[in-house]
Amino acid sequence: MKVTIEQAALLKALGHVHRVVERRNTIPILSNVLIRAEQQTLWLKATDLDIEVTEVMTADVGTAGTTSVPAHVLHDIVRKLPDGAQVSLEQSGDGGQLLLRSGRSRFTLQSLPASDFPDLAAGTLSHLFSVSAQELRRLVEKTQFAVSTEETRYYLNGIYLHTVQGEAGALLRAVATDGHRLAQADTPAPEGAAGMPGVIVPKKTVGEIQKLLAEAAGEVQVELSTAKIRFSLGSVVLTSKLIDGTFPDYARVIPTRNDKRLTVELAEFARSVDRVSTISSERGRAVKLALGDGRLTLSVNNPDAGQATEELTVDYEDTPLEIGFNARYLLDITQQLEGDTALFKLAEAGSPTLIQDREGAANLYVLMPMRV
Amino acid sequence: MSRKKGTQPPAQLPLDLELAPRYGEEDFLVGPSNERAYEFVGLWPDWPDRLVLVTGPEGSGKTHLAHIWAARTGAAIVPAARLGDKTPAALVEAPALVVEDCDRARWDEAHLFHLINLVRGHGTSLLLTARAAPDQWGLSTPDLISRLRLAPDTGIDAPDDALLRALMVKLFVDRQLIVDLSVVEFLLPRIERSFAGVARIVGALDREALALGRRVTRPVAAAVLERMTAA
Repeated sequence: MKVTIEQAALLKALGHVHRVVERRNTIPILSNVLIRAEQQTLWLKATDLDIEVTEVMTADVGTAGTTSVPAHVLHDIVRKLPDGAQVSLEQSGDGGQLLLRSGRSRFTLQSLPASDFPDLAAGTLSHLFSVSAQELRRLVEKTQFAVSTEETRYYLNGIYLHTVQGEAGALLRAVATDGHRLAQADTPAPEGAAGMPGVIVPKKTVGEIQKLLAEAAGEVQVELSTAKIRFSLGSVVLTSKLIDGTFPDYARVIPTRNDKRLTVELAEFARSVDRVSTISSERGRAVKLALGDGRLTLSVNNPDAGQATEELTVDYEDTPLEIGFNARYLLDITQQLEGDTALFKLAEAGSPTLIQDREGAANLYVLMPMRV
Repeated sequence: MSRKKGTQPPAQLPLDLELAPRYGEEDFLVGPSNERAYEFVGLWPDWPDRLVLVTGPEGSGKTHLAHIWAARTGAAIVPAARLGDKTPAALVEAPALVVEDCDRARWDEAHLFHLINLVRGHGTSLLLTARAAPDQWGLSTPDLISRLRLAPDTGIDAPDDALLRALMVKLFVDRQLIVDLSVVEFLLPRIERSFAGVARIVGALDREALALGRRVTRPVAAAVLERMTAA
């Protein structure tokens, strides 16, 4: 194999694929990136056996061939090369090493045979649809904060992507929950998504796709089956296993009859929550919301540190209510909201509260209270 | 545990995200206490009568058996409380019929009596579930009582240790919870030795672990047990 490529192009591609490689591996080849040069293209692939990322780019291929070298080392080398430099990669005669040359730099990397590199066989992917990168980014960004990090709750360790029938047609919906709060975001279902199985996309995959989406525009092609999902964003393709579990019937925890409506100025509310929670204990983080006629009193009582209260003028005309929430959860949700105001629909101190930008918004959040 | 208001530390409440139990045939655990009922359900359509009772304590798997039977027969499942929603004639249109929890709801005795007669006439089958035998349902229609008494009753008895252990593991699996076997061994000698006792502790542990955002461990189990005992 002999190939020459521009430093920036190689760095960008390595940047996409190397992240999936675990820093510590008991199987040596999993530390490597697969490199294949053929027909004026350079093809890279990395995997952790759950996720596989590939990228194709144009390169000046002198001799076709394949090999694999440590992914993070190669990325670090290319990162430190000067901008605009030409990088040449050449396999040694016995195939055991890869020689990297750029300007006056020369590196020799130990390689492993490409034939040993694992393949995340995707099998047949039964459903295919295209969704705009912008909409997919919104679905992921608005829900990923609520994904559970408790590993034994494996069925909550991802975003549940599925289709539902909405009032104005089919919707592609993302839902995540950690059992304390739930986030849901909708977009009109793209053609081809109807009838797809509901799938749980693992947290690590969500993180990777989020980074890829940050620099993507246009359309993203999504293919999936009950076991795997594949996102194609231009020259980058990410294939991932799905979580083998059943997502709970989340619809039953989304309140539909909460009739106490509270509207707050979003920024003012978030700042107040942040201020009063300064005094809360690390474990508790409870902030009490006392609602009365047009008034909201936020208070924190920490027996070890002291007390804090703050009063806001709000739009609330129902019967008085006292309800406690985890301040961090409230702030997490207010960060996702986009309007100037936020609508809270409450029922009672022990029941879930619905939070949205406004009535009928495409994103909704459910927050369970704290007993305070 | 009752504490004075204001002295309880703030605690996060969990969303009610419980998963539906699995009622597949492969999920049913057979032990000496329920073997007879399980085998009887499997004998269909060679039943000695068109009407069969499955009685057993709370959580003993009556509903599970009814679902297994319904999957084989295409039976409709109707809670006794909703028996009056349809006429007996409409109910027997289903290939077979399950009426659930006959002793735990008020229903029209004439309605069930008529239904039993129609079932016999149509040659279809009817399975009734209840916690207690018909004598204890508080019925007043002598003809209905005698028909129910004559029906074969595949009673489910109190479970043995092996079945309780297997049931606890199954209930954790149903809830997709990864729990160390040492937790199961810790719990078994400390809970009420019944199907319902196992279901209650598993449900309580699931909710507590979700509220705490932690895995189900022995300390979490001990705390939940202590609270349940004190309640």
